[in-house]
Amino acid sequence: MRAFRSEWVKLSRRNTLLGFGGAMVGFAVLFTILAFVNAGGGNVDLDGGEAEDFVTAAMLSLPEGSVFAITSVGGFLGIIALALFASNLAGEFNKGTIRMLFVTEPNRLKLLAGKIAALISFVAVGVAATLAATVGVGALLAPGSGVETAAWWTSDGLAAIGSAYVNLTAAALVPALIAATIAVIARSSAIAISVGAAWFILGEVLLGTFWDSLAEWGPAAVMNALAVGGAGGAGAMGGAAPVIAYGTAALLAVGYGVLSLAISGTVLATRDVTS
Amino acid sequence: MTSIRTTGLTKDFGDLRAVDNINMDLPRGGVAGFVGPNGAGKSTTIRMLLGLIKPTSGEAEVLGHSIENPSAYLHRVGGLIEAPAFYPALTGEENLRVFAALGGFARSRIAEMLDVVGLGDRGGDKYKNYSLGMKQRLGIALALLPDPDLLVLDEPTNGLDPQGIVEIRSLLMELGANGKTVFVSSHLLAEIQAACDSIVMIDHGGVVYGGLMVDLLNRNSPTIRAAAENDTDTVRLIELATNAGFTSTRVNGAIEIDAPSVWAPDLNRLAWQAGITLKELQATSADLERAFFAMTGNNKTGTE
Repeated sequence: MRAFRSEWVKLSRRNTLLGFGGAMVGFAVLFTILAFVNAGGGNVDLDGGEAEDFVTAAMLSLPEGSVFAITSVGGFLGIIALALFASNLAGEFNKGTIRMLFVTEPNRLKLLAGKIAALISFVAVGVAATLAATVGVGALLAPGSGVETAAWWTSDGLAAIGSAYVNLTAAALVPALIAATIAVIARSSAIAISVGAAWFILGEVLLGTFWDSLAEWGPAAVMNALAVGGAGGAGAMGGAAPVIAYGTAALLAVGYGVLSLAISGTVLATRDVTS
Repeated sequence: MTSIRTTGLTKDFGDLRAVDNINMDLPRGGVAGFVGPNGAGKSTTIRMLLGLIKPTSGEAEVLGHSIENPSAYLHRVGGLIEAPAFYPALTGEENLRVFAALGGFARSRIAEMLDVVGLGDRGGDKYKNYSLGMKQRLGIALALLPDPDLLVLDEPTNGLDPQGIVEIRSLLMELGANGKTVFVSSHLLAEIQAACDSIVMIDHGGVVYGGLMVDLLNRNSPTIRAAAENDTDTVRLIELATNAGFTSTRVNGAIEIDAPSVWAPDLNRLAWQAGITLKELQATSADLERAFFAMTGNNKTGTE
């Protein structure tokens, strides 16, 4: 608990809130605007080719329409969470503060647990703010885009928002916890962020062209499946729909999380702090 | 009662033996210096005592607890290891708040300790804007935050101006006089000599002296340095010292005589009677620097 409170002294600073929290909300608002502009008949040329409709007003008028845009790009929240976790943990080594932290809290596993819990809570708050912004901006843009919002406020609609919150938070934590492990091993923010982001943005997709089954268990596939609610969900921005069932994705996410924490904890607890 | 006790403490990094069979027994209370040449193993020893690295072999106790279980004693220890390390974007006060929350220390001590180290009016400044001396002071404030029984400071006066050095020395001496144990390593041997009651000197990973400062200084007799105006008289000057029963050594055109300072007037008189004009006559009292070089056999490298 002390490590948790200590971490929040740093996380609650304006720069961190605006940097990471702002990025999460900013992305969400941006994609919400794109979705509603597209649904309203505007041209949204995402890939430099012919403009295409990736969402319609009818889709956004469904109970889950309020969170359609953000769940479709939930992976972006994961990349931001990845950067947060990696820079936080690797930064302790880069700055040399890790030795002062270990002298102040010699139980390294407690320290790690407190830090991770604080970072998870930061992401959870960030996702909540992101959803609030998404729904708020969507409600403002809906009339101009021909989107009916009545279904958003039904019990199904509110349940969709609740599910999206849980799913997006869980999805964001998959890359975040893996990046935390890379950060502890590499002790470098640059390595942890670049390796992690490269894998989740591109690496797994490229590797998947040679290794088909990766789409059924790879961490990026798990993240995307969780974000959209499993195999039945829409593919991100019109991309391929995930093939992993929600329950399987959740189990795999727990597995990745536990494995990441076990490796981080073992490395942190046993390694000498020499510089 | 001892504050730090080590028995055969050894640390290897691959093929390199950084600390070799260190035995020391530091009593509780007072200020103890920790000196040695670069690479002698001081920082590695301090890191082992603070639970940051594990020894390859040997044992150590801090405040009566084995270093295998740092949680048992580190809440009573304040540590500053090498250069202070803090969060650049946070203010000095915020930085201390991070560690106070982590260690469960009273928040009221933050302002108190900032005042103690002379940063009372600069606690709201960002750490990245601090001078080296201010960073060092913040590091000492952090070490003092838990109101420790044992303070382990690695080069605490690095970057401090002369006034800062005197202030920190006074603070450490006051803490030592009030029953705290201060274990401090420093480049500044004169500072160690001025502040410390006891000293541990290491070289090539092993202890070459551990005990009271005064005993170490008494081991190294004072010398008289003399130089004749005419170089050809140097040999005759050596003869005068030898005839009086003292040994002497030629050093850069002068001679250093292992004799008490009270013999300097006698030497001056004898030289005058022998028709030797002295261009230099200086009695030097025993000091840590000379003792250090004598013990480590190294007068070129300085200290770590």
